[in-house]
Amino acid sequence: MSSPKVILTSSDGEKFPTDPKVAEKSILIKNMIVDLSPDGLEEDFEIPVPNVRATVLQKVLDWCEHHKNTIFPEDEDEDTKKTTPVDEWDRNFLKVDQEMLYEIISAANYLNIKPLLDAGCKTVAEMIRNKSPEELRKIFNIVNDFTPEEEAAIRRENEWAEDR
Amino acid sequence: MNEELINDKLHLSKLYFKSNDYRNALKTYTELILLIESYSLEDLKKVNEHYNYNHPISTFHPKLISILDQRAATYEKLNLLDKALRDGEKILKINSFDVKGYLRIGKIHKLRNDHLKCFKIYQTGVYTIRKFKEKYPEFKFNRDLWHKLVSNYNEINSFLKSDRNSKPPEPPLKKPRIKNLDPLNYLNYDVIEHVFELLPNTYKYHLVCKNWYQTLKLLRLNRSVQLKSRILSREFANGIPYFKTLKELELTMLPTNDTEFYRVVELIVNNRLKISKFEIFKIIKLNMLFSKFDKFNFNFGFKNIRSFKSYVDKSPHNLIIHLFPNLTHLELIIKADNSKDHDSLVINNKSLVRKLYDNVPPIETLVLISNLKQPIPFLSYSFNLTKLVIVNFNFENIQHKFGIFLQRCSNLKDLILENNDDFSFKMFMNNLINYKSDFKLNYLMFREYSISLTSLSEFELSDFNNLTELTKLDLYSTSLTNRGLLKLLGVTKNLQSLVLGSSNYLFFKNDIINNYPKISLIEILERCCKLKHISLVDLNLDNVSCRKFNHDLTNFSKIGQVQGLTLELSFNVNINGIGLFNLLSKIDAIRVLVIDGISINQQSLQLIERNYGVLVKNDPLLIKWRRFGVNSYVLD
Repeated sequence: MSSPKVILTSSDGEKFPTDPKVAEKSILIKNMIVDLSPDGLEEDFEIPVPNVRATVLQKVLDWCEHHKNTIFPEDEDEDTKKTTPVDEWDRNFLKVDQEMLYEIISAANYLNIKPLLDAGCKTVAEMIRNKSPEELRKIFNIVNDFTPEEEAAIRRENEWAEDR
Repeated sequence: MNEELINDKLHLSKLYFKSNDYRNALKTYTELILLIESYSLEDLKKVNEHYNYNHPISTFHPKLISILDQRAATYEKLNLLDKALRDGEKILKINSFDVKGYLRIGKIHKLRNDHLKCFKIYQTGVYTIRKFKEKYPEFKFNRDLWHKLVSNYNEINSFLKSDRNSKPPEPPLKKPRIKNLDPLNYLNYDVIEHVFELLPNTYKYHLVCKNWYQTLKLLRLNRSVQLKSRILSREFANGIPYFKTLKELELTMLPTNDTEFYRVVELIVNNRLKISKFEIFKIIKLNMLFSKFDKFNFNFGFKNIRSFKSYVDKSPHNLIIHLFPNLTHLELIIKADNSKDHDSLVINNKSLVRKLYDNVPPIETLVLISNLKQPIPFLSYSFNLTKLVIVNFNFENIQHKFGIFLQRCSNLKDLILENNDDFSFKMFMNNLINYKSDFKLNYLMFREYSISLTSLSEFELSDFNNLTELTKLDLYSTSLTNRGLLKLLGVTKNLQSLVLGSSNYLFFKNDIINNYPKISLIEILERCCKLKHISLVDLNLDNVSCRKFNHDLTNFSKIGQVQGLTLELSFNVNINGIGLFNLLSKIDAIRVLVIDGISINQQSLQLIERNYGVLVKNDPLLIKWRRFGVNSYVLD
């Protein structure tokens, strides 16, 4: 008999039988398994993932599969964490459309997969970094809803800065 | 009435929900529901009066529907759809004309892929509420929610129709929408915070749109800001709303005048800004500063400040130390003028000030630079310093005090003593012996002002105990003789960087014939074989000296190893291109050659770089560092 699996069910009802080692990249799932079967899984274990769509869940599980043997450094100091660039595989993995990227980030946040969340947030931060408000509106299809007066008021708020 | 409590709890549960703490959100929502359900009809009427809420058909607590709906959302998050459904139904039981109830129930059916039930409940909702609206046109509905219900209804209707037309099954319903790809709309608050923690100067993004502006102002980011150098108090005041969103503020200011500076100080006080690092690049009249602080009853948030740097107009009063109970870095640059206008310090809050004196801050770095040779302040304090910089003071009659001061600094690593009167290297050594301390210096810069020669002959090797772990030694303008220097270098085995220069008593071989004893590079290398950087600046070296160095490096490579060396020969005006060729020929020890303050043919330099693979740095116009040495702290 094959070893027991964790069966993840996406919001749209698709089932993903997953190797526990892979699924446990999610701390949420890991804790659930530990709480409910502290002696290890004896049979298949079903976990609903109610706010993640199947396509997104598939992507997230691909990530977990790829990184199942990766050991992520814990408790790095904040600065190192912030400045370490996203690793190349992750960078390519996250080359998806923006909506998908956001959904992956939200799923990583919900499932508590910190390294994926960090990589996702860095990817979004890179989209924003060094861009003018006008460029950002273009990138994200945002409508400028300020009146000229409001805009002038905000500019005044930032007068203290050398680099505006 | 419990309304205040209810509103507070409601706010709290929303916070729990937003931070994904669904269990606590659930608990709080349930408590609220139980509380409201315990209301009598009389109570409910009063509450409705309080909110000026009047439903034409039934009487209920105006917040109850939202609370039930939010609890249902929480159940949804926990995947307890039955319970969520029950809350939705409860809403309709209380008020069968509420849009939220229909939306919630429909959503749950949809999550269960029960499209037909979803369609039915939306249909009922649209029908019932339309009738109600016709009957009570004056009753106000939330228009957005109503439109949402109608559009959800139309959507599922067309979906089911297309389903009936047996088109291939489509993936679950997706709202057709204009693609606004704003991450702030998609991501949770804590994730957004995570993203912006990675970005500097977030104020720049305030102009994107209202949503960004408002969201960014809610984030609490840990960040310093760089004020523009000549900031006006008006500009500073405009920035305060943003400064308040930051956990800590680091201020570097170059105020245009006193009035502007004190206006900013006043703004800091009035707005209780938390400043962790405060640097003022303008001469501050100290007594005026104290009296301003006095005026504000010393309410400046001093306890947040860990680093303070300022230019001051006189030797500082001890009070400055006691202002900052948590200060670790203090840097004062004293620019006193000679004129003797003594403005005296007047303090009104005398008892408050007396209390301040109870605290001595944990200062680790102390930098004191003066423009006049005057006594050093603060020597009576016991600090446990790791770094001390004393520049351009007068040590007359205070050598012993300084000795005791240093004795207490058992963690001292970096000591910089530059251009001080009445404090020679020999006196320093005597101090170390008389006031023994445990510190082991990594870096010593000892640049002397008035020099009387010393060969250190009266000292034993064990007297250099504090200097045995030096990695950087700077003795520009030293009183040490050749013998004194070699004696000292004999104990500094780990030395990686040595700076010598502008000395009256150190002589390397050169073309000039005289009787002075000479020192050679090999004698230095033999003692300090880890050297990676040697500066021999303004020491009358010439082309002959260069040839000697070449010879020494060649010979040394037979007994030891020296590689990747940076050699600086700046301000040795008698060196030219030929000397450099002499220096570098057939050796590979030198990687970088610095020869500032000398004019050398550029083509020769390029040739040297090409032939010997050495990086040459040459700025013939650099004269600034000649007098006091490279990176001198001495004021212009």
